[in-house]
Amino acid sequence: MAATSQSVNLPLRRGKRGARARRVARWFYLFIGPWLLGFVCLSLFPLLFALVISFTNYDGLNLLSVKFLGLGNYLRALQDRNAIFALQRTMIFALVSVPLNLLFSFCIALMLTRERLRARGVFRTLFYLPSIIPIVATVWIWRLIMDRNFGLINGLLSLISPGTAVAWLVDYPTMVLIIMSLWIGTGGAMIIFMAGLQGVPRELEEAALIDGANLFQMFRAITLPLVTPVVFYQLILGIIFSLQILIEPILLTGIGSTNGLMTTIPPRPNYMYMVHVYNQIFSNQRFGYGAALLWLLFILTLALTLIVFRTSRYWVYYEVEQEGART
Amino acid sequence: MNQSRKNDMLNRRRFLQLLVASAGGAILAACGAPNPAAEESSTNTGGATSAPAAESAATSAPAAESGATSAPAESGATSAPAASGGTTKLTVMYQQNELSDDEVKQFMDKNPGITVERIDNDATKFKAMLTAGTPPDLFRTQGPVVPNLVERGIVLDLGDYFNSSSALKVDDLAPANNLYVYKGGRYGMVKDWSPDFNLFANKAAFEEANVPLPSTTEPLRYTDLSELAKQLTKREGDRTTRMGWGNPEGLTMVRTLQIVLAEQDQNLYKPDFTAIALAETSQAVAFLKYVFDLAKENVIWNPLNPSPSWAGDDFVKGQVGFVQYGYWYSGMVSTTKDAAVGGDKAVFLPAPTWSGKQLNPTISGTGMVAAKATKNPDAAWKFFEYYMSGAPAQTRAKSGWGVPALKSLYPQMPQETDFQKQVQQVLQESFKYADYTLAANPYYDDTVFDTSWTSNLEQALRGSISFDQLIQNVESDVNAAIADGKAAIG
Amino acid sequence: MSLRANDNERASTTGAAFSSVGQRATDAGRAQRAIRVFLYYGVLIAAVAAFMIPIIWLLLGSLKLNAEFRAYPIKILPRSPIWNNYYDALTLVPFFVYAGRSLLLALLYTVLVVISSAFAGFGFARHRAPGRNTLFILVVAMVMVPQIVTIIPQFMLYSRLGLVGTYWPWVLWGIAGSPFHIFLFRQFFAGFPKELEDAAEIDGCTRLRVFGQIFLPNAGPVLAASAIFAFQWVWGDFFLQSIFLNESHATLAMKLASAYVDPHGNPLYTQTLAAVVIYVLPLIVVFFLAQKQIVRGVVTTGLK
Repeated sequence: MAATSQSVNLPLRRGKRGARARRVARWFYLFIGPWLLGFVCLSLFPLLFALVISFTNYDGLNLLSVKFLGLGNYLRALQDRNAIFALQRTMIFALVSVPLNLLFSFCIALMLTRERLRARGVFRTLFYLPSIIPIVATVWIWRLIMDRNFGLINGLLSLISPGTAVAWLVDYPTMVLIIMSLWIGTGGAMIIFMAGLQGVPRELEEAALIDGANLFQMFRAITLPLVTPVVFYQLILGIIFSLQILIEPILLTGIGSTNGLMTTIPPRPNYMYMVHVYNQIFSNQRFGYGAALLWLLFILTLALTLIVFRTSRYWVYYEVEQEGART
Repeated sequence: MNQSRKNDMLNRRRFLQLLVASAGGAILAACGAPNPAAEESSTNTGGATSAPAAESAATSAPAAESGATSAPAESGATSAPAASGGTTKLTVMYQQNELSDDEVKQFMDKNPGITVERIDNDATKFKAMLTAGTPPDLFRTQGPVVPNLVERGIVLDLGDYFNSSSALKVDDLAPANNLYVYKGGRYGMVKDWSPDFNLFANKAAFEEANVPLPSTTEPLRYTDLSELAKQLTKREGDRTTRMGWGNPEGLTMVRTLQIVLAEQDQNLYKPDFTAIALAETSQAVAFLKYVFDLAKENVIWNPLNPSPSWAGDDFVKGQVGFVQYGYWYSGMVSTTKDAAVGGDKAVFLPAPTWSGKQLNPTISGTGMVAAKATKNPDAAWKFFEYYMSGAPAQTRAKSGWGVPALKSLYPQMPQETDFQKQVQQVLQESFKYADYTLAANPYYDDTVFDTSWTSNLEQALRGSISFDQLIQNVESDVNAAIADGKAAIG
Repeated sequence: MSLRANDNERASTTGAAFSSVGQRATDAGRAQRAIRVFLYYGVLIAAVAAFMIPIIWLLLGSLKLNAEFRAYPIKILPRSPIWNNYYDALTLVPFFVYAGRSLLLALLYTVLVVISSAFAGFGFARHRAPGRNTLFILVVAMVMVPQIVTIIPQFMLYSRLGLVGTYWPWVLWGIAGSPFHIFLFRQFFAGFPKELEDAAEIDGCTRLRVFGQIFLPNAGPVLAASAIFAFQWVWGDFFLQSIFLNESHATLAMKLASAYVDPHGNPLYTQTLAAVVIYVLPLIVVFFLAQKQIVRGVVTTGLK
């Protein structure tokens, strides 16, 4: 991406210092060797495999009689009403949950960076706690809270209006999913925001206050611009991860059956794109088609990421010209 | 398919094989495979260790078996190590509550040459193992899936083993085992079975709703059931404190539908199984409409008001009026006699009928099959035999969680409590209608139907599609799956 | 005592400004300041409380009887705490065996992935070489690839090598490093002053020694952050474990993915909740002890 500008420098470095450059390059490949080897074996080949089968009707068993479908699987995806529906739901989920998560974690980070805050460590641990709880346990807890019959929420509502039995997990599953994701995601994002806020030079803020700016003006003029790179980073990761949401919606519906843990199908509103893909691969045994769906998602993710990158020059503030791949 | 396309396909297949082979080779080379024989041995199914044994076993084992029938345990112990010089390892994918650690251990004690590892049932893992060419040697499946497993070359024909076995005699097999017979082969057995459509009624609920208990001899009509479901449903505000009817299906919707159609001499699939005949079969649409209406009236658990657990659990807790399960469920009712509706607080009823003709076979037929890719078919059979006729089979028969798979074990079904006696009475009558083998579609796994049905039922209940659209969608989902399956089988 | 340590941390002026404004205020403003502080903590505590509800519910649930837990109308507090649930949680299944395997697996992966990622991060940060930027883009792009694309091919590979049902896949994944961790280390090492490195170079140190003696000793925070993220990931991930491991290597994550059951297969909710509490506890303790390091690690990786 932005890193391509960097490679322009390289030829200039060659020449009289060529021997040293070669030595450095050798060290470079030595250092990244384990990763590179792992990448080739465990990522690149599997990915190539997934690319090849996305053009076939491969189902895991028919290697000897496999048929090439050309772009058939990709065209099929465009006509798959469930895939399109699932993509819409995923987009809605991402559109709500990503900004909400950013806003929430930023506010909390802001409050926790107060200079003489007592028990900062305790607060920070408590906010971070949800994100270290393993996903299975998290889902357990939320199912119990949102349960129609013996859940906490309905129980509390019943104290006010007896007999309340809202089927949260059936009637408002996406809301539950968003709240749960917020609960899980706030801690991690908060830590990164706190780190970003610590990097805001104190002198700048104080100067602004002395110049007669009020707190809000100072925040808008100084603090916010200086943390936009963090927002940017979080936004990109948020988009990537929320488009790939899979385990949460499946487990939220039902923890397993005799056929294994990930075999239930979420209620329609939580029928996310990856859930559809997962079903195509593991229930319907459409490996080829599933792979095609995954590549489409990858292309979409890439496109969205690039769009955010494009817009970044208008709102992300960089103090100094960043080095190459930094962004 | 014309000739030129066929050639075309062949070349591309070659290409892909080449690609996969080269990719595989490169991976192994690049990663410095711990032993260079790994690739070779996997293609030769075990190379020096057990391949020859496996090969000869496939042809000669039954003969050897019949010779050594008097001491099956010993023959297993000697023959397996003889070939490999070590122990034979079996992987069995089965649930722990159906194959206990003790049972596994007991088998290994009797067969020192064989180690057995049980792994939990997990559909995702199973698919991965299958794709990698290393399926579990023995695994759990349902009878109606067997034709599909056979067409895909996944399961091993155990016919010869059966013919030469002294422990498992073909004429002792209960009729439910016919689900494991396909195109002349016998691929496995049910672990036990039940006529799957009987009803269990919660006596207290009927009393409370002031509805007389249905007859234990005369079958109800499905239309009567919908009335009962309405009468027995109890609500408090938004809460359903008791659902009239837990589940409107013996076990799966598609197979229930097939049985209802069979009553009326209709078929769900086209004669050659290449497509489903749903929208065009008015009897099929009528039954699905019936279930849809029940769901809409919210007198059965449905996608918008799902069971908090599962209908069987709800029943013993007194949260449903009646449920539709086979005999096996009486095991649960008996063993939870402390529960709200355990033991004789429940009553076992005949299966309902749609048209007047009675039909009450098993539609699940859960059992065990062996993988075609197994390297140790002899050892696998040994375990299969143990599980199906040895101590585990005896335990299952006595537990009352299903009718034994062997007719000779029928008398062992429990008949101690009043409830168990009542159950037996109705069960004996039900047997008369149980001798029917579901016509399973070999081209797809019929859970696709149920997945599509549930999803589209939910959409229809939410009002985003019409009932007609629901039928259309299920039909097109199923037909797509059949077409894919057919293309893959080739 | 860690509380005091945290108070000394350098904080941003955004928060600080609230108090410094107060300091400049006159006596009349003192009351106003008190109110502001009160509100400040009020909001913070309310937010924490809201966040803690699910966890408190988990704790309460773990002390109830199953009947109490499913009672209607709900009972918020157990009539008397059933500590026995915790005993059951540890004894109904061989809990410590599973926990031991989880620990082994998590440590194995953590150590390897941290070392390998640190190497790769150092390579990317401090070496110019042809292809470096392309390779780094690949690192970043791998974050974007849905994990399940590679599951089946990887399973085929490991199965060929006879490694399914062993811990080897985690060893290999560890050695291969992780894009996220490499990114973290790269950012961290990129921020080191060049002079340090140059001095070492003049002394004739090899790159390996430069890494081992200059960069690594100063990488405490990012090492801590990376280690905790890695440990937490393996400890909590049931998905890969349930596919790549078998019963004989079953871990806590796999076992707690479904509820404990009684002999008839009925779920024992409250005992399961107790097990979940015990399962989560080590992570909380580790995080609380290491949180300062983590925050510093994130700060210095230049994610800002």
